[in-house]
Amino acid sequence: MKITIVSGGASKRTICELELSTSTTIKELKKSFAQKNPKYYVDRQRFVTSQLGPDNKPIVLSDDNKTLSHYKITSDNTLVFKDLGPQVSWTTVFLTEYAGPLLIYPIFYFFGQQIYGQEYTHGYTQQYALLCYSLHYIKRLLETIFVHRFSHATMPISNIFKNSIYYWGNTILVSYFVNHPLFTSPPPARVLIGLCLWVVGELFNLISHIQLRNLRPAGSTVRQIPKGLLFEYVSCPNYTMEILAWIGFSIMTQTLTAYVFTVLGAVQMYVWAVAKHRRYRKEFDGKNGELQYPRNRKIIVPFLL
Amino acid sequence: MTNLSNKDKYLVVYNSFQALGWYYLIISMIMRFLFQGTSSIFTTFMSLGSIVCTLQVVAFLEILHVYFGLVKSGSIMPTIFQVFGRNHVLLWALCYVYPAQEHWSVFLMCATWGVSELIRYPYYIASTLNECPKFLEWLRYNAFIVLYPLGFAAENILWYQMLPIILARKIHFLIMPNSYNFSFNYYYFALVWIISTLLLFPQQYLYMFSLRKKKMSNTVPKKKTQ
Repeated sequence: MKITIVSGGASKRTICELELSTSTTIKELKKSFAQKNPKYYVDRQRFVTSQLGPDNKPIVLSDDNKTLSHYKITSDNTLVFKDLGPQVSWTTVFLTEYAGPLLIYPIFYFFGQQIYGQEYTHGYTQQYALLCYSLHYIKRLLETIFVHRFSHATMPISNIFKNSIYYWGNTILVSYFVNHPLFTSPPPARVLIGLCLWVVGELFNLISHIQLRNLRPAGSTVRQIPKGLLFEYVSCPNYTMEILAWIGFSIMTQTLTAYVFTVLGAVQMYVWAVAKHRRYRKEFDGKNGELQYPRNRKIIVPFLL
Repeated sequence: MTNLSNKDKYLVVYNSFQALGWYYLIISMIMRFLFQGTSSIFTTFMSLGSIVCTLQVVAFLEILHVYFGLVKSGSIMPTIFQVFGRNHVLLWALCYVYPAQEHWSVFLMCATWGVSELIRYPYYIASTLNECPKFLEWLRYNAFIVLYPLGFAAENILWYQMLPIILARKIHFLIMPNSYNFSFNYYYFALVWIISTLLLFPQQYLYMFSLRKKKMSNTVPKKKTQ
């Protein structure tokens, strides 16, 4: 059958025509489109149907492994092409955004004399803070290389700038105040409580990431219901535990900017967690022989939220 | 009023409140000038500051009006800029920088704000009631050409008076050591603020010209068909 590919927007200009069969997968469709239009490599493409679906919206051909017939495209048809823009791999984005903090934070510690213009010695809180902050990002870098298996290979190139500005700016604003010669440390008991929360948070964050990795066989994008340990209580314990670690860091350092970025990070992670929780529930709806997602599992806070 | 929706009734009440407030302000300024002469210029904020501040604080509602769709607007940003800009210069700066309250630019600023609001709010009321006189509409889409730069200039002259005082008296400064482990220098914050408003001014001014153009092109064909 003949599939006509048109551009989106008002123009609906014909880009090309492809000769495909009903058993062609979306991935193959993308590959043959890329052959005719080398500028738009596979990760850059998105296709939607030209006819509206049941909810009056075009249907997105989102699953690369499904066939055209799965999306009810069984005869000569028109598909709308959307350019997702230049793409960059998740690994590149993660490495760039995490390398920044790892390099920037210690600058304020080791070059404090030049930056603040006075000689001073660091207190133990500032030493612990340097250790915690650096270890967190070393852990994130190692996880990106050795643990994470991404379900999407790429994201738009603009993300690398957006994310890096956030992480790097965040680091400058936290590090500047924590390593300040006039830094006021909270009492030892509070430093200890913060440090313990941080350790627990980072440890269980790592465990959750390893659990997630083991769900997905190497080289695939299979999705399964995560289980075990904290996953029995919440959909995204990795976020819960990362937030806990940052709460610990903020208590330990008693620094306004650290609290602010803890809240911003928590809000962002909550948004991601809600989306992921919804996806899990939709994917494992218990219909058509699919598994049923545990009804009592919360989003991010055990028993509550 | 009877065939108005509750939303429109609310908008008429709100806009009338603002219009009356600014009317009171302008009349007071004129009266004070007539009876006390030029010396009244320097005591504008002392005697009328509370009214201007009240009206501007209440104007925060206008951001909510746009956000919740009570008022149709292409973008919420111009409203946010105006409300935050004016409240910043009034409540956060001028209320604390006492010596600058006696500067003549306060008089000019209040006068230009007052006159433009005495056009804007009655225009909103009249359009809600669908009975907008031609001259009011003309004023709404032409007076800003003079009033907006004039008000902006007054604000910046005032900032110029306030900046050295802010630095000398360390107004709104947060200095380490403190238990937030944070420091804040309002002088630099104000500088960045002023430069940002300077950079945004052309865009805001042109935006109002685009509204004007849209309005003019909307009314012309109507006349032809009538």
